[in-house]
Amino acid sequence: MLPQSLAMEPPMRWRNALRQLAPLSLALGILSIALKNQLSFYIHPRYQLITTAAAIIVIVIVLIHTYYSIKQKNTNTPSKKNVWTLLAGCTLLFLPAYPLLPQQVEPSYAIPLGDSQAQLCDFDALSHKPHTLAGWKVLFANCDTPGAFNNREITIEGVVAADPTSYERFLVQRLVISCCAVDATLNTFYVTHNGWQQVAAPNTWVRITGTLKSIDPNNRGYSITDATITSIEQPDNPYNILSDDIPTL
Amino acid sequence: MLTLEQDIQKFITLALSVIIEAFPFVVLGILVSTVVSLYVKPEWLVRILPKQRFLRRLVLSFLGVLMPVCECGNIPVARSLIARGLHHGDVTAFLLAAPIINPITILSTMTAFSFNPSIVWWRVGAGLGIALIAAYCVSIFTPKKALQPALAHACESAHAPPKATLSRGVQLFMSEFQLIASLLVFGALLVAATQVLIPNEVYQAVSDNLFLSILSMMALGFVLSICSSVDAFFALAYVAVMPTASIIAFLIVGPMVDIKMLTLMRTIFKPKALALLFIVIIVVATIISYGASYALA
Repeated sequence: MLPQSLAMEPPMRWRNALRQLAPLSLALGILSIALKNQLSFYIHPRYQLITTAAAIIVIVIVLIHTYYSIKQKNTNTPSKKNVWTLLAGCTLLFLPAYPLLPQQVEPSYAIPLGDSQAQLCDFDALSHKPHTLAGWKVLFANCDTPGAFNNREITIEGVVAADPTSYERFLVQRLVISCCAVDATLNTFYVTHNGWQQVAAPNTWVRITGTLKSIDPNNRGYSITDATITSIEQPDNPYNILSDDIPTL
Repeated sequence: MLTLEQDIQKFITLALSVIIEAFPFVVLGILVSTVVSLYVKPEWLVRILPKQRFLRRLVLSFLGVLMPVCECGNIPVARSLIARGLHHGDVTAFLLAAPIINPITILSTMTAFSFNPSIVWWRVGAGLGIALIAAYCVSIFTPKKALQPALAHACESAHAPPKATLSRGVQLFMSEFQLIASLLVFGALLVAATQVLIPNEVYQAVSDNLFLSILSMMALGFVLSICSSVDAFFALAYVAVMPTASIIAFLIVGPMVDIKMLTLMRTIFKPKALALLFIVIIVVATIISYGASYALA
């Protein structure tokens, strides 16, 4: 009499085992992105550890399941439809990873707001001073006094874009996320710098250090002047995280 | 104007961001559902939960406090609860309320809207109210008419859990993972396609009209499918340009029905029941948001 593990057709067992490749590839794809330190292209840093742990858990379980499938202890057959859909996801995971770029997100009318309606015009009184492009934008949105930050020194990093309204000015842009690339919104800063085309190419990453100047004395818009422009590599985290840099009193 | 290559790249990045963000919560949810399937006996649930239907649903609505994961992680748990014999109306209350009434969501909403704490209470109250109303409405269907055939059968013949072995646990996990993960991928592809095809500006073009702004923010939440634990920070960016009522609508509807959740909820409900749930949630959320606009004026 045949042992129970050989009771089923061997090709069926191997077919079941092969179909485990789809969930395995999905988890491996996520793990490979984590190992290449590219999870920040897609999600908030706070999720990266649990995502990596979840991928490892799934890989272990799939391997055990495959072993049981071959040993004939499990008989569930994944549907072809599920396998193909998973494989579609896996294909995307193994393509070269790119973060979302500022030019891929439409300018938003939305203005990031801080966590209070307090007037945050007194820069020196702030217990948390902004250090990212998103943080500065929050500060501007939370101070009604035009020109309150004139002559403040500022350093930001972002991607260069031409300003269609001025030849002497260009834009530094950075995407802000709350959770993942799906909710990315675009933040933009003006930089006034004669001949900027010689030192900053569009769609490249730069660090700008300069001084804030009101664009118009009657509103809250600023431009960076006296700017030092340095080309940099794309940062590990290409996005600003809004909740990490909210200026507070 | 983006080139086709940039559009494709954007589509891939957005789809992957949804898959990767939801992945750990789905895995956690399936682990919990596997434990429920292996160890929870139907008679325990009957003994522990209140006999009175409203109270039972109220208790289940607060189950998210014990399981503060992204809404997609609740789907496998809900499936296992139905398979353990809970009524689909009761499970609906859990499924819709848990993403909102959980400590992480409440804390992030309080942090984001510390300048307007009433938004937190509107969110929690409305989430609870809608979950209970939707649970009542979906109860008009019998399990056979509301649930996918396999679940309806499991619900009717709920029996003692099988002997808990590693082999059985792994098998349960994998069969659930293959189903839920494939639908997650499908939902993520839909979310990304919709985002590439419909620019965000469309949603903000109607901010002057209260009714349209409520609808447009609900539509934004539906399309974006952001995790409920952080959507408050996203909504924060719209406070200056959209009416408060529409922000509340976004915070209520997003965690309950979005493209990703609807795709996953298809593993539980038949299309008619799902359509009813969708309509009830949208209608009640609109009414509540209108109420909020007057109360907060």
